[in-house]
Amino acid sequence: MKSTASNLRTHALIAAAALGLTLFGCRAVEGIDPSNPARGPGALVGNGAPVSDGNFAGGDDQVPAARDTTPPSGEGYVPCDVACQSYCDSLGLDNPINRGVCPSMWGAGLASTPIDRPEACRRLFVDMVGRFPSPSEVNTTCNRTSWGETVKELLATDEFLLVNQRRWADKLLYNNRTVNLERAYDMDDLVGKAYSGQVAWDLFASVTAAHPILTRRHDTDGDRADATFKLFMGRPPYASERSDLGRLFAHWTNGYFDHPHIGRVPDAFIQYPCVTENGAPDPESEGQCTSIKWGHNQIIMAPDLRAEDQGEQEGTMWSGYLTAEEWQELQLPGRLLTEQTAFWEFAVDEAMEQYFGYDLGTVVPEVRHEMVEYLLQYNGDIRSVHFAIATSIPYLQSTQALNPESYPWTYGPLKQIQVEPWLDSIQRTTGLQMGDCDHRISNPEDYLENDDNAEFEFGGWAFAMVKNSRWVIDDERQLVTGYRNLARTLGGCPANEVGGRFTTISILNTALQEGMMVDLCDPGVAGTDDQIPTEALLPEGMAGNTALSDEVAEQIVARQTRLFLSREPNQEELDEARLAAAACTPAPCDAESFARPVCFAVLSSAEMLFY
Amino acid sequence: MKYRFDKTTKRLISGRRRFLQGAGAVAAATALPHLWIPRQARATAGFNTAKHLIYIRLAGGFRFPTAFNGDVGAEFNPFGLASGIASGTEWGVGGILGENEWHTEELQGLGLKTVPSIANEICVLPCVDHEPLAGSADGNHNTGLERFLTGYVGGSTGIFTMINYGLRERVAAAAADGQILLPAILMGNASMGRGAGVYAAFRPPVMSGDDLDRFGFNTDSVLPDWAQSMTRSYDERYRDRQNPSHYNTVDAYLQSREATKAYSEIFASEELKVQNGSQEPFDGISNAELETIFGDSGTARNIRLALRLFHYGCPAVYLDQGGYDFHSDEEMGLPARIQDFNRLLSGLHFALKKMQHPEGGTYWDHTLIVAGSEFSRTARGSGFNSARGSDHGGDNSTRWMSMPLMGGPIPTGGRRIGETAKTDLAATGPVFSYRATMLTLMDMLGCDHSEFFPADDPFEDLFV
Repeated sequence: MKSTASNLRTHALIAAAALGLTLFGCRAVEGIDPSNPARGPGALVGNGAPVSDGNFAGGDDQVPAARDTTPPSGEGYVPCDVACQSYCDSLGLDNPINRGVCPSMWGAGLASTPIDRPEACRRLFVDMVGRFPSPSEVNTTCNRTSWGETVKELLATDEFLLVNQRRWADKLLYNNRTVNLERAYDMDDLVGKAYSGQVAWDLFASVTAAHPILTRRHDTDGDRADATFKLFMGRPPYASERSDLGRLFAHWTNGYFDHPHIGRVPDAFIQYPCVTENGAPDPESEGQCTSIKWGHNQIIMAPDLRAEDQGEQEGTMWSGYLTAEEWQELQLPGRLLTEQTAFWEFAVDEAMEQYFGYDLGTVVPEVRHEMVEYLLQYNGDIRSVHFAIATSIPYLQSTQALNPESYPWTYGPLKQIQVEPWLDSIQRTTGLQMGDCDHRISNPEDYLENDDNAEFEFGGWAFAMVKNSRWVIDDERQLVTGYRNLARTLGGCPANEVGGRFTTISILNTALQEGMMVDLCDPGVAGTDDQIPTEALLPEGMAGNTALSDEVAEQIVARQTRLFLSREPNQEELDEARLAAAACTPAPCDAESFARPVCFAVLSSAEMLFY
Repeated sequence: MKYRFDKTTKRLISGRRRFLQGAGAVAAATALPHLWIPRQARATAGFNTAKHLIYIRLAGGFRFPTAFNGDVGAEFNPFGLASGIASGTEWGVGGILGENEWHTEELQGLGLKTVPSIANEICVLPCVDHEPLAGSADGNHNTGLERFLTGYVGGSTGIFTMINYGLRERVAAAAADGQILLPAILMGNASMGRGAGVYAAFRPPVMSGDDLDRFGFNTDSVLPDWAQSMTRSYDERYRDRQNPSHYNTVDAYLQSREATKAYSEIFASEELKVQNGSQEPFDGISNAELETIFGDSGTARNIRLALRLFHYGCPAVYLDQGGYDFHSDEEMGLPARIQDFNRLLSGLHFALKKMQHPEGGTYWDHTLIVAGSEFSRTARGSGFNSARGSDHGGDNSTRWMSMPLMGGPIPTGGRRIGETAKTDLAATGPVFSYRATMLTLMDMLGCDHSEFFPADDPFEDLFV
């Protein structure tokens, strides 16, 4: 792509005419909605029809039997001969993962591990909705006519969008002290559009690579190229790629924008290399704005009236003044990467890593191939990838030891739950109110506390913005921070100054989690601050002072197993309940003094941390 | 590694002595590949002279010349110099360190002194730089902070993980004697505790002064026997029914629950409940006194907890303080915001000297207090930018972290080790790499730091 000087000047004149005083008037930006302060290139795309109809194939495959042959040893590459391939072809599998994995699984004589609905539902909810399901959701949402219907239903939820918006906030490191939060809101909307099928994945990547949330985060052209490569190709660029692609980021620079409601904020600005004083391409320097590694590609822009004419940012232009055409031009580096096969391979690999916890596309490359074809078949609608994974048989297997083969695709994936899904699940099931965390504003108190000596004062707009976010402000206009403080200690709700999220098992994390469970369950019946109401721990209609019996003990264990673990108790657990009831002291115990320690045992169990 | 400014070439050069040492070691190792080079080869005279470290990050990028390198041009320090500076102070005490609205009559009566009046107990390294041989400063929030937390951009091991790893033998020896020592702990950015592979097990926990009430119990003490058994059974059944490949994942949690019990006695200590208002002296000072000294802000609660954690063997505590990214309103905002930091320094000076260390002497004798930031700031030749604030770029003003160090293990209180030109802030004395500075701190704590930052060495200048 190459823009000539004349059409650049035309762009500039049109822009100046169209925006002119209006844009300069926008310095005052009156009327920005505090409930959605998004501003940026994300608003310019994905405003039409979805890129696909959302009716994805492959949601109803039946579990095939393993071919009657000696299965492989359990290690290394699984060969698939003609008979194996023929068997797979005969199965008529629609799901791309099932098709891709068949030669390494059923065709090779390996059986998959069956799963029951509660286990599958629990996994699906955490991965797609970001919390454990309620007992009723196990019996309704996860009990549709086909599993494909269930997945489709969850794909359409706001929670599915939030799960993925949070992931991208982590990847792009939203931090309102580093980049203007309007950009985080805009990027968040763009992620939402991609995961609701409004924006194709290649367009998403192109816009993201030239989004201020990314460019303002980095200092040099090479760093921006590096970040783009890592985000969308899954690897750092080679030196030649870095320097070459970096030339297409030459127009980005970092500056500060005086926002009328939240003061001076860091934001992306545009500079004008590679042109003469007249704005024409400079033959001496235009190579600095030209990439030649993927064809001849050049971005040259000329300054106009919109550029700052004085001060520290003289000669540069706030990126908020860019026109739609200019944004599109600046999105060239991302577009170049989307033309690479590796771009699409990484898109599906990353999604599979998200759901499986390991790189299925690498260990069984046929799966990657099938998935890329499938994604392209749906015009780059990333929902299709999530649908295919969540309805695939390798995903829908139990983690239990029925199948001891060591190939990871022959049994279900087991992952540690992240902090927010864990906390949200506990809040939903116990009624605990700790507040919330909004990844778009990492430091909301910045806008709620005025410094007595500062010239800039945050007013009602800033307060309304925080109030309208997911952060909770109490009746005394104070930020509720319990959720955030606990989440950050455990590794979630990151401030993202640098990469912040972590998921770990550590002694102090465990101590913290156990402490929280003691506070909630109150196993000593001591009247703790956040004690769960007794009636929530008992079967409906059972009073706390009901005398404990074998039957009451079983009912209590059943009630809590359904509530917290989204499944029915097994026989071993019921047997243990009766034994515990017999041992309960001081006898005779009542229902509450039995239910509270059971609550601790269940809520603090490993089953609440892994899924 | 220490660097010096060569007036002839006008470039920074690395220390010749170190270079020759390194060359000798390489030559020896080449000739005798099996040669064991003892880790003491990189140790300084200050090795193992500190038992505790308090490392404070002045968050957001701190404009150091306004505080710790104040005798420079007004474009670098528009606040001037402080008054009432203790005699024997070599370094320029910036005017904002004299901001003392926090210094109430109550605190004065208690004995807390202003920062300028204790400046002769603070040593300053005016020129600490992430990359002394780089062409310009790293003034980027993201990469500057990564360097600050790990030593490198994209560093995979945090400084505090290095400390825990470096002290692993000491902790293991204590455990063999039945003594549980707390690890280094973060009360701020978790990335200071990055760690993968062999270092993963040494990641420091993240805590805050508000969390500790949640630790203060032993679950076995609140559970009846049948419930303890039931709790174990739930975990073991879940682990045992997993595919063998998942067994270790779940078992790590079970092991963690067991290990938590070992810490429960410590966490249950009344002294760690720093907000309980107790008047009972512990290590010579009560929780109520600590609250009076430091106040009740988030940072204050963290530092109060930190001082208590030290009693239980915690070697180092990291905390974020402030929020100094003043792109606007710095002129009015910085003097107000620095008050908390001034109180913190003064409070530590007072409290540590009063607190009796379990191993003899005062905590001051054994504790190192250091402050840093991801970078300094610039107004590009003016006192302030057009919004009366400052920014960060690639110039000298952004480049130099002028890091203060104080505490008993620092024998060079009041000294300035290094210097900058008043007019352009060019280094006219030694420049220390940030990584070398971190190695020096680890060295003082007695850490085995031989695996970290191989191109840098700890330096002796603090002990001469």
